[in-house]
Formats: sequence, structure tokens, C-alpha cells
Amino acid sequence: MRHNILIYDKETENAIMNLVSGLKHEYGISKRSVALLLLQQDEDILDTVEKNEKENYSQIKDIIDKFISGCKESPVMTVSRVQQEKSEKILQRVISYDNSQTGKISSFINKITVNPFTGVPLLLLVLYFGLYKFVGVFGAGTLVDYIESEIFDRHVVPYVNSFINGLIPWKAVSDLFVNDYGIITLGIKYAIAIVLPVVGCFFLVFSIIEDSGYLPRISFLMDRVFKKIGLNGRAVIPMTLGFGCDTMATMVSRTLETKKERILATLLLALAIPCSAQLGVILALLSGEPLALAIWVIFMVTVFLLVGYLGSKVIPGEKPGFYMELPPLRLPRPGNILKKTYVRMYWYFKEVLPLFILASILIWIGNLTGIFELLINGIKPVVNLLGLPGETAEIFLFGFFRRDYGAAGLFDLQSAGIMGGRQLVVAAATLTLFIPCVAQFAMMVKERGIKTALAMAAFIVPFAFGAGFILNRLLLLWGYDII
Amino acid sequence: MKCEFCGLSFETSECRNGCSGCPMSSSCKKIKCPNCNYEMYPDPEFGALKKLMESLKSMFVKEMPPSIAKEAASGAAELYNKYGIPLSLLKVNDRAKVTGIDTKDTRKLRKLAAFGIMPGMDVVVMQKYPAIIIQAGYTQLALDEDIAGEILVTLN
Repeated sequence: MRHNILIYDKETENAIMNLVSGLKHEYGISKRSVALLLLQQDEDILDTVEKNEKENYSQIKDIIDKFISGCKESPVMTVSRVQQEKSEKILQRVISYDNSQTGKISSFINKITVNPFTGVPLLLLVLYFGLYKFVGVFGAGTLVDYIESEIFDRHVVPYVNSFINGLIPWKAVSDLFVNDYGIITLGIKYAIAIVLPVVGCFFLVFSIIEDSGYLPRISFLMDRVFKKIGLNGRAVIPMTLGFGCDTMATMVSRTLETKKERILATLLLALAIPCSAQLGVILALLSGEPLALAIWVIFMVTVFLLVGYLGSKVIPGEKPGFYMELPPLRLPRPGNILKKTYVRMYWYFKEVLPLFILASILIWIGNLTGIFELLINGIKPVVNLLGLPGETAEIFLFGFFRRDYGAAGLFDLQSAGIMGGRQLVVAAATLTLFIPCVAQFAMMVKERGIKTALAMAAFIVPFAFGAGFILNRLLLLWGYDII
Repeated sequence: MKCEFCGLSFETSECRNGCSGCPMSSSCKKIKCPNCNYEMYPDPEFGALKKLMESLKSMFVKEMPPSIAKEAASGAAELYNKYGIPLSLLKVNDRAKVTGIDTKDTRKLRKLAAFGIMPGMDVVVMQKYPAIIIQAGYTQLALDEDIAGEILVTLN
């Protein structure tokens, strides 16, 4: 396919030829490509070539510098223009555009989504129906209720309890599998009955939003707000994903351009963004009390903006710029949505089930040896300071093994009628702020390094309890309490 | 001003203030038409309100002194003629041709080039707030003001 090779102008071709003969090492791609990347001053390839060519490198650098000093415009532009012209020529041969159907409806919808006056209300509507109504009320409410109390509590748990207790006469051993904190009755039940329906609902909504091309438009609308907290519209994607799973979102934060953005996004994800399992349970807990839910939302948004704003002042680094393609809006294909949702649920479940089982085992060991009792007794005075009953100490401790696990425990406490409205709000807020789950912490270490991750943890734990304490005092002052 | 009765245009300095013999003539604000002697009130000036607005404005908007502003404007015009106008100054529906990108950051250059933003390309401004949307070929692109300010264009 000789005729498909791009030919650049004389100076560029000369420089490419000199570089190709100057390169001694093999790079896995053609030397011409390496030379082109070198001329465009690609940082990665410059580093690789410097490492591999050693003493030969100064000669190569000379060729590049000489070429660049002779250029009228950036070589990036020269190369891109030739590529663009060539690709346009190829496209003209194979593509014809049908201009008769200009897609009035889609351009109308596009306008609505990007106009701030209609776009912001629309975004709120999407959040209300997608997150609150579908994930919160339907997923965490109806579905969880049915699977947990109908299927598990009525049929599975009593049967498994009596079966295992009959099989293993020693309570210490049978506790590992069943009863209050067993692998089956706690770990597997929480994973299947509470977390899976909630996460599944979230992934379904997220896949629809993702495939419709709506996400970049949210980025566009939120850019100015995110600039205030040291990020830009681009960070909307990891942040939204955080409402699904913060571990996944922390991994995605690597797509942000500057180090400052990545650190801020990681911190905010760990601190103020509840994952779908946690969100679902909290929505279900508080949705009975709209005022309680409103307090929780306002509190979380305030903390998010405040910490982001202060963080952007404290963490050094350059101001990030925002540019993003707005792809055309498309009607998502149901087949794709279902496949995506299924695959995500599958991987999520595969990742979370062992952790839930591990958490159950650790809790069993902790209970058996009495370590947990010590720890819980240590946390009790702290939660009492927040005006919470001692039982919540257990939730905060278990919450570390998985955030959702802790929130799910909160659900049990509410069902038992132990906590009132104020206490629920304070517990929900503190637990949301509180340290991320083990998996997210591991991802923070992996992505940001152990030092940064530990520093964040050292900030988050006291901050969460401090903020919970203040919230409790404020609510007491206001006289807010509902049972 | 213009007489409301006979239609004569005149300067307020041309006419007599008040009527001789009237004890209130020294502080009378009425204006008499030099032609027909019709009495009118001058156009309201809202002096106090204007002052308040100006002091409010000066609190928020730091205006350049007129002399410097003029110099800067003429300097900017010269620069714009030579290199092109920043894309961020265009209005909605303006069509323009990219003349250059004013940045040394090759990473940024490469990204913009990948979207087709390079000298010679035609762009249309679709929206300005909360960020700028431009159409370049079949691509719609959202940019913040800082980056749009680095893209130089000439109006078509």
C-alpha cells in the first residue's frame, strides 16, 4: 500500500530520514513513526529514546532541535495538517452525507441539554428520576425489601440456620457460617440482597446516560462549578462514576490531566461521594423523611464544595483547562445497555463477594478473640459524642471493610427502631464522609502512592467525626429531631 | 433640548430661568422656550442614582483609565490584525477561520489538532455560556474561555 504513506514537506522528510538512520535501537513500531513522534516532541517517546540510544541521543536531539528552530509553526500542526488532508481525501471517496435529514428533533434536544436555563433543570430531573426514584426508591427500596425480607429472611436464612446449626454442634464454629454475622447469613445475604440490586440499578441508569452521549454535556454545564474547586468539567465523569463505585472511579481519575486534579478528585471521591450501595441504602433510610434527606444532601454538597475549594487553594499545581468533544446525542441500544449492565454487575459481584466473605470471616475472628469488642468499646465514646447510640460503633468499624456493608448495618438498626431522625442523619453523613472501604483504599494506594493515601486517610477520619459532631450540634441547636 | 410645544430645538443655556418678579425664580428648575415661552421641566438626570450605580460598578468592575484603555485597544487591534482575534471574543453564530494557536504546550496543541482545530480550519461559534461550544467540521467541541482565548481566528 505504497500510495497510502503520508508525504510531508521537504524539511520534515529530510529530518525524518536523518532520524531514521540515526536511530540504532528497535522500538516495536517503524522508525519512521518514532521519528515523527520525536519531531512532535512527544514526551514519552523522547524519554524512551533517551534511555535506549544512550550516547547516540545527543546526535538525535541535535537533529530535532535544528529542525524545530527552522519551523514556522509547531511541527505538531504540520504533521496533523497532512494527516487531516489525507484522511479527508480518503473520506470523500467513501462517505456521502445525507443532508436532507438534518435531524431537527436531535438538534432541539441537543440545545435543551446545553442551554444552562434548560440544561440544569433537566440534569436535576435526570438525577431525581435516575438516581433517587430508580436507584433509591425502586432499587434500594422495593427490590431490596423483597429480596431481603421475602426471599432471605423468610425462606433462606431460617433454613440455612437450622441446617448448619444441626450439622455443626459447636456454636463458635457454626457462627462462622450462620447466625448474626455468618458468611451466608451476613456476607452473602448483604451482597445479594442489598448491594447487588442497588448496584445493578445504578449500572443500568449509568449505561443509558453513558450511551446517549449525555455525560459530556453534564461536563460542559458543570465546568464553571468544578473550576471553583480546582477541577474542571472533565472531572464530572469520575465523580458521577463514583456514585456507582468509588473504587472504580478512583481508578478512572487517572484520566485527569494534572496531578493536582488527580489528587483532588481522589480526595473528594474518598470523602464526599457515596457509592451506589451506600447511596441506595442511605436513600432508602432517609427517603421516609424528606427533611432528613434534604439535610443530608445539603450537608454533603457543602462539604464537597468546601473541601474542594480549600483543597484547590492548598494543593499546588497548574490550573487545568477544559476541552471536550460533544458527541451527537444518540438513542441507546437496549441490547448494548443490558450487556454493559450485566458485565459490570458480573465483575462487580466477582470483586465484592470475596471481600464480603472475608469481612464476615474477619468479623468472626474479631468477635471470637474479643479484639472487635475492644475496638468497638474504643469507638463507642466517639460515636456517643456525635449523639449516636453505642450500637453504631460496630457499623463504623465494619464500614471500613466495605462502605455499603456499614450502611446496610445502619438499615438494620433503623428497622429495629433504635435510632431517631437526627441520629440517622448524623450517622448517614458521618458514614458517608468516613474512610472509604478497603478496596477503595487499596486503589488509592495503587493510583496515588502510599504516602498520599495515608495522608488522605489521616485527614478523612478526624474530619468525618468532626463534621458529624458539628452537624449533630447544629441540629440540636435547631431543635431538629424526629422519631 | 426640544420644545414640547413649538418644536424648536435649543440649548438650555440660551433660555431664561424663571420669571422676573417671582420670589421662587432663583431656585426654579423650569425651562422656558426662547421662542414661545412655554415652560417645561428639564429631562430628569437621576444624579444620585447614577452616582450610586457608578460607585457600585467601581466596586466590582475595575475599569482601565481611559487613556490606557485607548492605547490598549489600539495595540490590541494591531495585534488582532497581525495574528488574528482570540476565539473567545467571537459572538454566537460567528464564522471564522483558525489562523494559529497561541500556546507552547505541545500536549494541548496535539489535543486540539486531534479535534481538527488547526490553522486553516473553519469554525462556527454555537454557544458562549457556561463554556464555549464550536462546530469544526462534523465535530462539536466544548472549550473553556482560557483555551478559546489561545485559539486565534479571522472572521469570515
